[in-house]
Amino acid sequence: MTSGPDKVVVRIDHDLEEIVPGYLKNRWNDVEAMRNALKQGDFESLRVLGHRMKGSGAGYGFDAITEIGRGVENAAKTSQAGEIAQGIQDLVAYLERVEVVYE
Amino acid sequence: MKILIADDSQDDRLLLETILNKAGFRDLVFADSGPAARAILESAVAIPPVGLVLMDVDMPGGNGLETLVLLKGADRFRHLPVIMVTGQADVQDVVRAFERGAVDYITKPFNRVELLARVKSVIALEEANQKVRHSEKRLRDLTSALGEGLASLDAAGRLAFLNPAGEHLLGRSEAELLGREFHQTVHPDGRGCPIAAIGAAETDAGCPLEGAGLHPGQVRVGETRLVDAGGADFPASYSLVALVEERLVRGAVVAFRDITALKRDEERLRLAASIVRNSQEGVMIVDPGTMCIVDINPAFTFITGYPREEALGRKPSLLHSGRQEAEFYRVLWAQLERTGRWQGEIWNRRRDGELFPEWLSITALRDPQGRTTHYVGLFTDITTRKRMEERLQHQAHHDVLTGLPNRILMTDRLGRALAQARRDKRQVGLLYVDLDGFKPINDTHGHGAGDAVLREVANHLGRLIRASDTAARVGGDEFVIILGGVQGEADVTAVADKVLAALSRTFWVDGRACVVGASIGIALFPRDAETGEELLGRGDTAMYQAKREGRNRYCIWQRTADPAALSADERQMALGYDDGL
Repeated sequence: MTSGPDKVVVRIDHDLEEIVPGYLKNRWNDVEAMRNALKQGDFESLRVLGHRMKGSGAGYGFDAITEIGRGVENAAKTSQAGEIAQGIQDLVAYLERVEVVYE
Repeated sequence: MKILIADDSQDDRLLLETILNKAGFRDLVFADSGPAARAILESAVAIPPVGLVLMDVDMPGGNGLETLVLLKGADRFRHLPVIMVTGQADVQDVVRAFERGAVDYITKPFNRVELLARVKSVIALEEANQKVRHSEKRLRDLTSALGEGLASLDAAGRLAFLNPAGEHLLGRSEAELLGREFHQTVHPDGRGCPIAAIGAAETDAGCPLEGAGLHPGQVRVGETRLVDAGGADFPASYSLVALVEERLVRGAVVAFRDITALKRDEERLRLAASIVRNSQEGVMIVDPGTMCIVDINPAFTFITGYPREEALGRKPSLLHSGRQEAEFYRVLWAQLERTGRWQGEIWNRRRDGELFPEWLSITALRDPQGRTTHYVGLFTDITTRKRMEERLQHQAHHDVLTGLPNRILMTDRLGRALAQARRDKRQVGLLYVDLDGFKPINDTHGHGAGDAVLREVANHLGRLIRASDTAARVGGDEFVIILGGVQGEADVTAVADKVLAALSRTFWVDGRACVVGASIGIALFPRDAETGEELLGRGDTAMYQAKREGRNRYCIWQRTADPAALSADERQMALGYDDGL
């Protein structure tokens, strides 16, 4: 399978095929939730959202989401809004480019 | 096995569900917080019960570690394996999880291979543990049902297990005694027993159990005294066996029971046996099935002459004298069967053949179902008593001086003779004998001489008559002879002649001559009288007639010489005439 130069190809066990689309859709919900929380300065919610992404991403096969989640969680602990905004932006960019291949 | 997944992240729950489902674990329940997890564990959802919990450490609204602590503190969930789920960097969480009783941990994000490996490993361990717990429960259930105490000791002789009966006997719980040296429950009086020896051997090098003489394959049984929690000691029987692994003694099992009641019963039995052994009464125990003698006491041997080895296995008829008819025994057994008891007098035969009377009391011992288990015969030799009775009987009916029947017995014999004569249609002859010249012997030579003469006279009279006839002394010098079954007067006068001949002679007493004679009155039944009393009266009358006619003769009663016509003076004259000589 080929993909465009801006695509990120992730290979995932076909056992998880049923739940991966839902997982990615939930991350778009996270983007929305994080933006709202950031606007309101709700760093605790941001920490929890980051913590969950960190714990789940690699489990589904998305190592990058784990990394982004770790960054958001750590930034939220020290209330670094800039770092968090960057994390949200990285997540959006990743979600837009990620292409899943089941094998 | 049912698995509970407690995680606040829906994505993680879904991921775990998918991974576990694909691996074949389909019985899953979910909770999004610690309290929700506990609610599920305690609810009907958890039936069949949850066998494994995967619990996220970091959950808002219910920390996983706190929930773990609560679970491990509850008896129901103490054995429930919990795998904690932590972030990769949370080493402290891992340490805390193990400290609080977690069986393993998994890090997030999940590595599928690692996750399944750990879950499978814990499940295998849990299944093995369940088997052990089940086995242990079964062992406890089994040993709980035992009436006897059961204790397991380790190689040092310390308690590792005690069943409920053991707890009850020792008055202490297993928890109180765990790790304590079991030999401390032995009372100082039981020092010699191998359980106590475990303690004594402990100071020596090596295994205390072996030091106590407990070797592989050996079972030591015996009795000792144990002490309960209150310090009271009780007699106990024990069985001590070594637990062996690879040919080495690794521990021991002690089975023990309170034998207070047993000891008391033994003591009572010993006492009972001692009483039977020392009893003056003969005792014979008979098996109702074989009707053979199964036990006797020394008095049995003393009375019957049969030693124990000759009596056991024989039937009681060994002692039969043949003096009782079959009917006697039939009645005896019938009563014994009906009432369980019989007693009475019976004649038996000793080993040397001698017959003897015994007072026998037989009791049928019966079990609670009413079946006869044994017959017990108690008997006393009453030979001496019988002889005494016979002597008294004899004394009551015989004259002490001459040994002849007295008036009482004579009256009885006369009655019988008359009855017999009526049946046989024959006659009875009566001779009323009064000695002539007896009083002067007493007066001249003393009563001793008189008595000697009377004894001589009695001897002669006894020799003159048949065994079936009776010669009795009825007064000082008066005798009555009863002749049964006579044909007529001639039979009687023939005896009277013999009496006159025998008594009309000189008796020598201590070198002194004593001369007596006899006046005899004769009467016949039924010719002269209808009753014994009447016949005696006729004989008496005829005797006076003989006196009157000159003594030393007999007179036959005659109706024409009416005895009632004889005046008192004439009677006195006849006697005076006699006494004057």
